Amino acid sequence: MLTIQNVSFSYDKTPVLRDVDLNIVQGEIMCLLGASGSGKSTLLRLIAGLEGDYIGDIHLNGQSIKSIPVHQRDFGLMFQDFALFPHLSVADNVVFGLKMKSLSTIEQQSQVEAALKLLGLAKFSERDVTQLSGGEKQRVALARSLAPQPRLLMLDEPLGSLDAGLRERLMIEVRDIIKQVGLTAIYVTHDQQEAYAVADRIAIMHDGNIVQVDTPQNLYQRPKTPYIARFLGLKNIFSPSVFGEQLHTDEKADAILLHPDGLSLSDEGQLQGEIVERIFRGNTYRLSIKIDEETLVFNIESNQPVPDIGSHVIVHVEEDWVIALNST
Amino acid sequence: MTMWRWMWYGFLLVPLLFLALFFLYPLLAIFDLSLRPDNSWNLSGFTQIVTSAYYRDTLIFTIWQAVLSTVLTIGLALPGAYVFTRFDFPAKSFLLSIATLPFVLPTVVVATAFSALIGARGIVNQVLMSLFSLETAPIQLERTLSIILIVHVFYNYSIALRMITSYWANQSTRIEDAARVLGANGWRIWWHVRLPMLRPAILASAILVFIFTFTSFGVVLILGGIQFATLEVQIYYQALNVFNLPLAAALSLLQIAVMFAMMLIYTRLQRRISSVDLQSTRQIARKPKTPFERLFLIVNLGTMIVFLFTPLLALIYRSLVREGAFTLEYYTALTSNTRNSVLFAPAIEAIGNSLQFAIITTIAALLLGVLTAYLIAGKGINRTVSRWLDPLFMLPLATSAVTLGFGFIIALDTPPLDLRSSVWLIPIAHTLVAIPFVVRSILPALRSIPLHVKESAAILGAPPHRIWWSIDLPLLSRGLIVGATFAFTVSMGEFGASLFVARPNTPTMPIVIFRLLGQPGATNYGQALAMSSLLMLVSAASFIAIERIRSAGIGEF
Repeated sequence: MLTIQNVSFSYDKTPVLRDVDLNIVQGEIMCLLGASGSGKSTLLRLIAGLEGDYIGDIHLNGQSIKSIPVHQRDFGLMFQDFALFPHLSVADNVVFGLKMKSLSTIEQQSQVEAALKLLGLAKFSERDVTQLSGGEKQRVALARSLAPQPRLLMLDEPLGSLDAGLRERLMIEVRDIIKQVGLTAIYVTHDQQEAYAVADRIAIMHDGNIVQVDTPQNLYQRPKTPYIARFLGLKNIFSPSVFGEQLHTDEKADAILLHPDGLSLSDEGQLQGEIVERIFRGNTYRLSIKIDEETLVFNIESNQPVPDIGSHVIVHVEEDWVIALNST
Repeated sequence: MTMWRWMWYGFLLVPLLFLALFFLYPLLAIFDLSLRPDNSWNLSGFTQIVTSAYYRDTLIFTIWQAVLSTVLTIGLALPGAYVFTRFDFPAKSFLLSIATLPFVLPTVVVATAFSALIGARGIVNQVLMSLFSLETAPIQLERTLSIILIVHVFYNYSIALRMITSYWANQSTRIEDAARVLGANGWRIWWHVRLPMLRPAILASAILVFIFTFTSFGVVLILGGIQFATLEVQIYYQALNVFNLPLAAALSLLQIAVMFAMMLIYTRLQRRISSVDLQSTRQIARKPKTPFERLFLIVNLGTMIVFLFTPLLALIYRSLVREGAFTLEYYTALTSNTRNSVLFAPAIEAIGNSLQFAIITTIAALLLGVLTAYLIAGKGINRTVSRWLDPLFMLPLATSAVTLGFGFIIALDTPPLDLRSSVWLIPIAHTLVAIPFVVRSILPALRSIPLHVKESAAILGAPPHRIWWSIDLPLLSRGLIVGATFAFTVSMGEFGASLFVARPNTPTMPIVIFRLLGQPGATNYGQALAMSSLLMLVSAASFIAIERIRSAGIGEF
């Protein structure tokens, strides 16, 4: 549906995007996940048309959108700070895009009502937007982006300014609403949990590049590079020679990941070490086990006997979960 | 301990007493004189205003010129504000601060400067006359509405520019991005997003400009003449030339009513401006990209710089050059006492007078201003009382200078308060106008001193006066310097009130300039230019000092 081909972009001569390729399929939610400064928001602004002068091309349904000005693209974009019009009421904010399309008043009204109803804002319609709470503003911003029925919805850290509890609830709701309307969406976030919950597929961005595109589960279970593994919060990344003998690792890889999901304490196993740290985390204990010069970290369930600090233990590594990582 | 506390409360009452005696009492005297001349109810003054076409015309002209000035000022300030919020260019903050210079320039100086530039004897006319060997000056702007409007725009451009710019700079451009994505472009963004979002700032600055130009006195008196009398000028004529005091009082009352209504709207808008939901203050300015943007930027800044500086440079040039040759003649003439002089003493003595008055004003305004600030921000003071005190002490600033001076001469003329012939009237009048500047300069700092800091000092063993000396004073010092400089500058340049209360033999610099301008002859005009140049340099120096000391947080105008 949307194809990004070899797009590069510089801001004041500093390269922000380098040769980005990405293909987004009709009806999917694509998450751009990356640290701040990785170029994800810039890519979004490029697609929206808010930044020009890029190299490469972006096609929508086979047609280049390079020469289409922002206001004629029929896209929706939701900002992190929501960018609501402070001088307009909730309903007037939502109707803005419909007015610009010069729809008849009746059509405007019915679409605004539908959007407000979808987001549970019906009783807020005459409210002043400056007096809404963060969560309410977020809903108004989403309603405003949805009302004109955009061909593509973009969300730039849409939950970024909300507190953690609210965020967890809203991320599911946002996904449900996008799916209910049947939109194609690009969702930018730096939070992996949010990306896992919302996305059909995730594109990891790093230094202006897209380094891996995959489903959330694949991404978590099979990261391709050391950077991605670390970014997703995975520990136990070693040089392949470290446990080469015990685990028969691929010596040509740049690094290997002993995925925590494949580690367990056992009577039989490939590695032996001493517990140096034991942190209780509710349903799990986090153990740090020192093996020669390296430390292995993984969780075990807390409803079983857990050895004390200082105990010598055997770690079993499932071979499927020894993952070769390559930097490029 | 309690005795000290009571003494402190006693001190706090001093500014209230000062305000009551020298502001509220004269104001009441005006009310009394306009409503009950001859000690009986008599509204003849008002009937005269209503029935006479002449006074009706004065009122209509006052409103008309104020509206025109306001529209022109805002119309020019809007594109300027756009340039300052959206574009990055060299010396930007310097330009924005220098644009505020007119704010501190005395009206008399500015009027003289514009006369030196585009008046009948001004540079532009001199050049045109010598270029085309003309007999008479081709540009005849003096005594026209145009020159009044030009000077009003000169004065108020920077106020509107600053107010709109600071409001605009706090608005995220993402709101415009959002509008663009939703299908708005070009004029639709201006019409549906930018202008409505700026409306509070535009309205507030428009009302402020209207207030300033509605009560414009020096500019209209010097450049316009009697055929262009505003209410303010009319009050002056009625009081000092025709001696129709009841009519002058009635006109004053009318003006006070209009000003009061305007101030009410203004303070309401101010509250709206400060309570607006500001988006992230991300840097939104960028370098101009397209040739059109560059042209727009250059035309705007060019106009602004030319408009700001040519009159001031023309003033200095004309004061130093006579018939094409450099001369200090006009400056030396200030020190001599020529026989046919309209002044009773050498003009230079006015400089001494002005300096003395300004120093007394500065000291008085500082003392009273600090006490007032503590009164307003004081913790022993009831909050509702404090809310009333703040605008109460701002009133002298909102009251026109002529009203103030007029009130003085009709109220302070009977024992025990017979001050008509007292030298003290001038510094008292100046202090009234200067106090609000001092209060505004230190109030934000005073309010921001955390109570816990003082409490910690007390627990560590500091007695109250030590707390004041080692905590309050250092934190207030910058505000105090700014306030003192303001007070000094205000006093040096004050014209309207001084004209009423100055004694003939102790004129101030603005009054001497005014008298010299009213006299024929190149030497008198030259002396006016020289004196104006000196006064301008003093004001400009003060302005630079204020701008350098004042950091982002100080002063809340």
